[in-house]
Amino acid sequence: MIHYIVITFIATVLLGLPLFFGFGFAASMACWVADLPLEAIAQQMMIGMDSFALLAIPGFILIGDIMCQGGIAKRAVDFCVALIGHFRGGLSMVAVLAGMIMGGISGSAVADTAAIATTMIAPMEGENYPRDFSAAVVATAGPLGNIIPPSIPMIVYSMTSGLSLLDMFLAGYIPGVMIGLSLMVFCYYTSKKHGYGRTNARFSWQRVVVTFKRSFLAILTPVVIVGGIVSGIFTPTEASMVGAVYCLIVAILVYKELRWSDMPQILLKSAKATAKLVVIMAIGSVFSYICISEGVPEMIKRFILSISDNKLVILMMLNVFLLFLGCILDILVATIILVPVLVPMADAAGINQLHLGLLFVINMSIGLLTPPVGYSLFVASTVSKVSVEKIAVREFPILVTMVVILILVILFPQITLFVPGLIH
Amino acid sequence: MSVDKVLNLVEKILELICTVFVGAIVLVLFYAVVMRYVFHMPPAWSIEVSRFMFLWMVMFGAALVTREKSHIEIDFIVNCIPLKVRFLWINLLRLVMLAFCGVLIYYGVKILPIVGQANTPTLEMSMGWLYASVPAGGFLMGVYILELFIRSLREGYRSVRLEEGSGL
Repeated sequence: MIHYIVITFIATVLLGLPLFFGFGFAASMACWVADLPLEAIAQQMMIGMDSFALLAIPGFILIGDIMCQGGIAKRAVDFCVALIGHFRGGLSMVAVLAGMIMGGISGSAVADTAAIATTMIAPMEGENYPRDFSAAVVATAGPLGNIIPPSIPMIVYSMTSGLSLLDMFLAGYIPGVMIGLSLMVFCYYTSKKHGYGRTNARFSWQRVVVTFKRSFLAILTPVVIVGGIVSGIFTPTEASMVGAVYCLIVAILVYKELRWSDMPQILLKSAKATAKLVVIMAIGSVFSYICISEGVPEMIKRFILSISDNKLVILMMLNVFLLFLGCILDILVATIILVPVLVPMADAAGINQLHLGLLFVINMSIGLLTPPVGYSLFVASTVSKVSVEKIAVREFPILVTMVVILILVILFPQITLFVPGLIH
Repeated sequence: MSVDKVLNLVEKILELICTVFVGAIVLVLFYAVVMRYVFHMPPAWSIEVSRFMFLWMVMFGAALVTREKSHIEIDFIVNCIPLKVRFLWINLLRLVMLAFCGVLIYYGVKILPIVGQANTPTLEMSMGWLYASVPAGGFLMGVYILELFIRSLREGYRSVRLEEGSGL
């Protein structure tokens, strides 16, 4: 039975059927063959979509779009330049730092990468960074955006696994900041070694204060969103809506970089982006329904435990597997297919669910930087007009840096569990 | 009015609905938060109304995305297939997609009388209004896939070259 689903899935998805239809076709076939009622497809789709938690997705996408077009990204970059732009390799570090801040504002990796790429690549070119290096660095905004909350993959993961979204958000901070800081160190040494980014800029407190004032309202956004969720004032869904209204007011009334007349187009864009994601989640819930009624999680659980019952060995194997899958699958698809299997497996092996969830998100985010399916890489390539292959080569040391942090996170679960532990 | 014009008109209407619904969801939920904290009178209807708009927005949005051929897909293998084969393959896949739209419409409509007996808790709206979004979305997607299918057959395999990826 599982062979059947996997084969149909590979044949359709790898051969180019859009994911929604690929999953749907496989599910129809599976229901037909296994004598499950086909009505279950329509009904499960509805159950998969009809959730208040999912409403956070259009909210966070909207925040990302408003942030891109409303000058919020630009101001955050200006502030970072004033802060660390005077160091050797300063602009490449700014790209990473701004990616971290942006990751804290929007929930969408692609919007983050686009925002950083469009604002950073031209100034980096002016300071003698090779274009492929700049593109490789700005692409990291995507993974950082996924790991640092708010994050759409985390919303999807918490929906499918039943983990608390707040816990996942909080668990993302330390790994996200660790990856960001280690990438900044990497940028510093690479620039120093190859003589990139010589700059005459001097550090001035005055400039820091001025740019901080200009970008204060933008940088406050994560505080409004996550602070509101942590203190229990709003649910994540409400927080996304309050965040969207906040960004809108800041972009239109304070920064005046967006007009009311731009809004219909931004709203429509967000609606389409939401639809693309949510139909796949809907059909994915049919997929997990079929898997569960066919006893697939039980089978996988037995298979894994027959290989080893050492927690660390299982975790390591799992991570190698996830890293590989992250390269060839979209994060959303991977979540939908794997989570129904991973959750019972982690229970059997005694792995903390929250730790596993974060490892999953980090692994899949690393996949955003690798061909053949790496959306951040594609966005960086489109904006910088450097070929995907060239950037991918430059990406290699960055990937190594990220994997080192990943291994640290595997070995020390406290890195993820510490912050959520504080609020309980 | 020609078929093309009707389809364009439908697209415009769907776009309008999606735009209004997303905006309305944001406003309704923002209003709910404000009412709860400032006036201590949380509106009971906000969650159901926003869920309703969300479902229809997703299914209509999926139809729009189908017409502009920008559904999420993994196309690195299709990009390697030679042009003429790709043309045949894409149109074959379109038939598969149409078949799935058929499943959504037929079974989506079939469950309506059963799920329609239940009501939502606060507004007591029939659940049928929520569930109807699935067959409706399936129908609209089917229409646009059919349009792309016929147009592609008319233009022949040359139409494929212009597009990046499989263009489904």
